[in-house]
Amino acid sequence: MLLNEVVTAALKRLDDEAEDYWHRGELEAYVRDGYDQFARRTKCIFDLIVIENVYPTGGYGSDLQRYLSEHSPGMEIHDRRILFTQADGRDRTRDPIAVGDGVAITATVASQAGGAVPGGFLPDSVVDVLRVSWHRRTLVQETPQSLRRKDPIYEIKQGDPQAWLWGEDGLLFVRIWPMPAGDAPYDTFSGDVWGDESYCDDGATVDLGTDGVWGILSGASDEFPSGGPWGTAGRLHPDLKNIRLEVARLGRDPASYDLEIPRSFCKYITFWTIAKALQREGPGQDLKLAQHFFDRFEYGIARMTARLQRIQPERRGEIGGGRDVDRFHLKITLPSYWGTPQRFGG
Amino acid sequence: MRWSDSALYAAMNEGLDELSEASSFREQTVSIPIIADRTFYDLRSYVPDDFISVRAAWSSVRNTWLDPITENSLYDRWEEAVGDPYSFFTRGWNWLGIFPRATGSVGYLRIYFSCLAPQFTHGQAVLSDLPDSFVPALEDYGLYDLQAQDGETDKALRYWKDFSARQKSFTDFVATRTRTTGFIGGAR
Repeated sequence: MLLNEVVTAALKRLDDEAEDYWHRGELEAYVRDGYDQFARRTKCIFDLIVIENVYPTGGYGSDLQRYLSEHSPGMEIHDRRILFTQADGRDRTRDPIAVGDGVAITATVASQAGGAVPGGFLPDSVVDVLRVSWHRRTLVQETPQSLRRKDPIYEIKQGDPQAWLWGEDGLLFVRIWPMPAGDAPYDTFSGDVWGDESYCDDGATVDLGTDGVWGILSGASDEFPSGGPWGTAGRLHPDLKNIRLEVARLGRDPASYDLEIPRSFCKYITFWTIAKALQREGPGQDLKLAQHFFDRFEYGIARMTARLQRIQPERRGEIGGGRDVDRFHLKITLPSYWGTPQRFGG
Repeated sequence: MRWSDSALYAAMNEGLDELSEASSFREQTVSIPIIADRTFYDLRSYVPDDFISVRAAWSSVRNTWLDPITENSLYDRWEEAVGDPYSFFTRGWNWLGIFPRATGSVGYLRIYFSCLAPQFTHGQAVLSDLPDSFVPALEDYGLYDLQAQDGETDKALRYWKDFSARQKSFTDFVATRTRTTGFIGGAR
């Protein structure tokens, strides 16, 4: 559902399609609020992001390089507006890039001078970090207090990562301990290519399968569309020697994208919108009905949360299945390796 | 006439959606091809818009059900394992993860999922899955919704209370039905 549809549904339920009491602009604000509340409290929108294990060298040659390096911690797909301060900055996305011209996608590939990577920033939309892995291995979450006991110089220790910390360096920075060496094997470009990564073959990576060097990367079969599924692919992130985070995030702007929750749950955003509209001072206020719709929103939170958390290896291995009951004693029991059971003590 | 037929149908269909979503009484299946080296499958590519949640998964390669697990129950280096998948977990509402990941694009996973019941489209429409004894729940919901739209808050909340009681009864019936059948050969 789009924002417009949710607002229309709310106006219909409020019996105010003529917008005599509530106008669309007001309800749109409530929809965004309810959508954020739902995504934040249920953590139902899953995504992967990558903190590139590549040492940023600085010396950015364009606004695009700087933007992608500093604001997109490994986002594979991006479609955000970028502010260009130089006249030819925007043209980078259209003109071919000559060999040696630097890479328009990210400055980190231009020169891997070496150096440890302490961690990286999370996007604003991250609600929770579910798992952090390095080189496909799960890292343990530590607190600064426990890590200080283990390693007084943990902030500068380098090595293969074993743990991660969150919160000590600000709300949106994840620290990795020990710091990896900035040696993730990212693809490098060879030959003339367009600003969007369309073709890459350095002999050691997967051929993206395009014909020639034209086109836009649409995705590789074994890659996760981080930040997607809509947008333009930026670059592929290798799993090896790289830091990957599994996160729960907020949904993207509902004015431009469908709500990223199941259609069957979109009604709860409508209920929140109705509740806020009825709660507002002025004509049309109905606090009793407003509380009812707030309660229905809470039901939605509880239902989604229960669905995400409920994994029970029960009947047929079915989620939510009933408890096993061998009513007819028909289960086969295999002979024990240890012989027949003996009563303890003979 | 206070309410038109179309308004009643719309309200009752919404009640049907509410019952479906609360009880997950309706199930469908979809087959997802297993793809080499892929751990996460985006169910949005395969399931319809009325998808609610995954219930079970069956593998055509192993000819058996996959065990539902949580990712937390896996060991630290689980992502490095390869082989025929025998477990599954979910991430968010729409991502299905399998363990281990397959090395070849062979076979498929049959995913059983709960979804919304199909809506009534005309006056003689019948929903076979919903037992007749629970149909009055739709009447309660329809009256609740229409009274709320008319600003009759107290009346609306009274009908909502009635609907909630029937909904709970139906949800309990759906949740416990497998426990009472005890069918021969039922899986552990």
